[in-house]
Amino acid sequence: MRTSYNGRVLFVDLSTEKIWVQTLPDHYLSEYLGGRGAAALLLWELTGPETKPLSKKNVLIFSPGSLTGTSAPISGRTTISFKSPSTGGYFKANVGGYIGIAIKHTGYDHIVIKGKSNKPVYLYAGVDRVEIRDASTLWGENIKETNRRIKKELGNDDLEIACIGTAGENLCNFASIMCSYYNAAARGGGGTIMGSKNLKAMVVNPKGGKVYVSNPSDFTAAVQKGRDASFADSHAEEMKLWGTAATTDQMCDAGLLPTYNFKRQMLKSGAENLTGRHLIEGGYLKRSVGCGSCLFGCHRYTIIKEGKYKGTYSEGPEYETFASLGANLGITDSNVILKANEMANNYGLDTISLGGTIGWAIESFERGVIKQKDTGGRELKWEDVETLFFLIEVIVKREGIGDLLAKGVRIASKEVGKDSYKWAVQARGLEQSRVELRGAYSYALAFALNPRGPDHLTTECLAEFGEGFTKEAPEIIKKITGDKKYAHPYLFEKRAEIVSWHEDIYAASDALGYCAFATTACYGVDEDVLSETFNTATGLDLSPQDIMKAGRRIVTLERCYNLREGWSRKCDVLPWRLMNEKAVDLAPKQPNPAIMSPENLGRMLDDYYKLNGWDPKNGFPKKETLKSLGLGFAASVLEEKKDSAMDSLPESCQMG
Amino acid sequence: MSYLKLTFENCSGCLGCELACSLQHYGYIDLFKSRIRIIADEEMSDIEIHQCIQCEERSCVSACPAGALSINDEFGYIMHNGSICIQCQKCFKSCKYHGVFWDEERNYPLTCDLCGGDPQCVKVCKLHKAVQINEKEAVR
Repeated sequence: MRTSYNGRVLFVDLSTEKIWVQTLPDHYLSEYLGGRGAAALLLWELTGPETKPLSKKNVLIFSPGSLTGTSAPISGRTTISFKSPSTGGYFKANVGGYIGIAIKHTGYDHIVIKGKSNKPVYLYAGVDRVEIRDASTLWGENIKETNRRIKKELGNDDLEIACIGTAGENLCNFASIMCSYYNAAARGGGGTIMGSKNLKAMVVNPKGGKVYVSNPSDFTAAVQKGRDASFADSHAEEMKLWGTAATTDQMCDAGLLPTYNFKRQMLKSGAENLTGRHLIEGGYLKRSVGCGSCLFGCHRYTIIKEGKYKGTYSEGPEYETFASLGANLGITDSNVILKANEMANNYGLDTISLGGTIGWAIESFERGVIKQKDTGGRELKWEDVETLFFLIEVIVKREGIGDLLAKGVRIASKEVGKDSYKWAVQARGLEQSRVELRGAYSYALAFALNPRGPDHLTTECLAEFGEGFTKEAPEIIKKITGDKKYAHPYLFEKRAEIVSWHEDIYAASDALGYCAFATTACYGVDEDVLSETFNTATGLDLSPQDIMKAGRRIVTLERCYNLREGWSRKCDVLPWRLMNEKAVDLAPKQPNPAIMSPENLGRMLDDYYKLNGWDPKNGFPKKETLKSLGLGFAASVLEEKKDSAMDSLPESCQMG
Repeated sequence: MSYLKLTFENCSGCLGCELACSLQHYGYIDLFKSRIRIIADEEMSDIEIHQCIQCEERSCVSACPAGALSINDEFGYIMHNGSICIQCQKCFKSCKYHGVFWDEERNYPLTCDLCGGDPQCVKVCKLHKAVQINEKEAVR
């Protein structure tokens, strides 16, 4: 039977230039749902504690979802899995655009790239052939030009390209992989790994390929249910109209907008410039763009038509970019943020880590830890355009202070010392995304547990804001916890249940290729819809409960990966600042002490471990838990680790 | 009067219409067999939707030397008779609206048949409304 996922893996070894195809056993789909889930198992098998992230032993696994390439709504996402140079642990970055649809048209479900080329190359994958091609003349080019030149060289405008810019070439630790021009697999240093492999791009030609579903008529009916449920969600129209930066100004009013490197939670003025509404009213919005098969189209393509930055053109800024390169630095001039966004997208930089690193640098300068002699005589200042542009340039080129900052805030603060870890807003090596965890307790718990580090991209727990988010949100919380009263961001109770549910459905969404906004922003695509659509596309028969259990299996295996690396409960923390300093602007609005202390976090973690059958002593899933999930193979590996795990900390989890 | 109304500026370029179209007609998905195509510039800045709009001219019908194309009475879409088509591509080349595509695999023209009056592309695009049924036509 021809289905939407056939377990076909294209392997490419850049060291030996060997290319081969392998078919995975059935359980990669039936137990791990394909996509992110199957890739987590592949990463577990192909890498381990001996794998250095920037060595030829590390792999990059490109995995469209098991439904990507079909007409399942909002299912065009691709997961890229690797051992991260930022965290030293398991990492999955997830990206939209159209590259996943193209990969599925070639007939491959995963593309695994290993080894290291001795000269710059790019990979070409089409239906008829796969080849490693010379990229010597592309090395040194950034994203826009790389795309243009490859399409011209191959005489084909239908190609989908994942590539790096000069940030990846120069092994900047937070280099992104940019797909379909402006869709960033941003976090964790996937672009850095491509740079280390001398791999400039992966080019996919969809022409001549087909994507099948096992039962086209039932699948079409299931797809329509998913569409109807998504259109009915009140958040759908918001996403279309305003994109991800819909509420930056409201967050500011609520004291929930991280600013000045998380020292403050509001801006004195100008937050309205950092919104989707402003992109329209300011005349910047060129087009709302949807990733493959998206119903919403939350991406903003923007242009500056006049003034100093005339001609600036890119995708975004998204909320995270407005907040990271704007609010976090005290900058509210939208022209400047659009320009910085264009630079980051073109150089191939993760804007979250970039903004976090620049914020740390400015605060370090303010505190005298970084001095003018370190910056070539420049002052680093808040609210300063020149500081922003200067630091982006030197980070990409790794010149002067930029060489230090290109390592990311964890390493930079370790090298500089002098207690600078206290304002390095990172945990486990990853700069935190712009969510004020001291005012959103599910987020706080989720960020502490996230195997990637503290960010929102293994969970979005938006429903905890209840009616403050959408009219549907309290019902979601009721479904998870049994009572709407838990739809409140300042409660400790039931956060474990809320986080677990969101983790599970997020993992299932990634595995199937659905955007997280389909399941955990709009909540229209639920486990019932996932199950029905999955079954009619793959020919399997998984209940909604099976789908959620598979999500839990994926989350748990990713946890096990990091435990095998020497992680433990001691790594389940938040950035020092958020656990030890009060959120001053939030404090008057919040009944609790506006601090996510180790005790408060620990209480929620205990609940979570208990709920999921993990040992609260060390954060290891219990043997019976692993066996019940079909992860017995991990239990034997972890057995020898768990007794000593709490005695030490892996390097990426060390502060100071 | 066209059965469908295309509004280029509303299109988000998601390709959902192309995916749904090819599944509807072939039972599998192949972007290059869709009867609606999203044509974007390299950076998704300018987008055109190419699809048969049941135009007044019907240049494809008059261009066909074999008489293989005809007009559906009820909805006005173009019907293709594969048994007499001589695969000359004149229909494809004659359409100034880019509403006829060429299936390179089977060597036949591809034209929109409005999915028999319930077009899949419209169902995908309910929020953005880049492809809609013309209101006047819908009441017909």
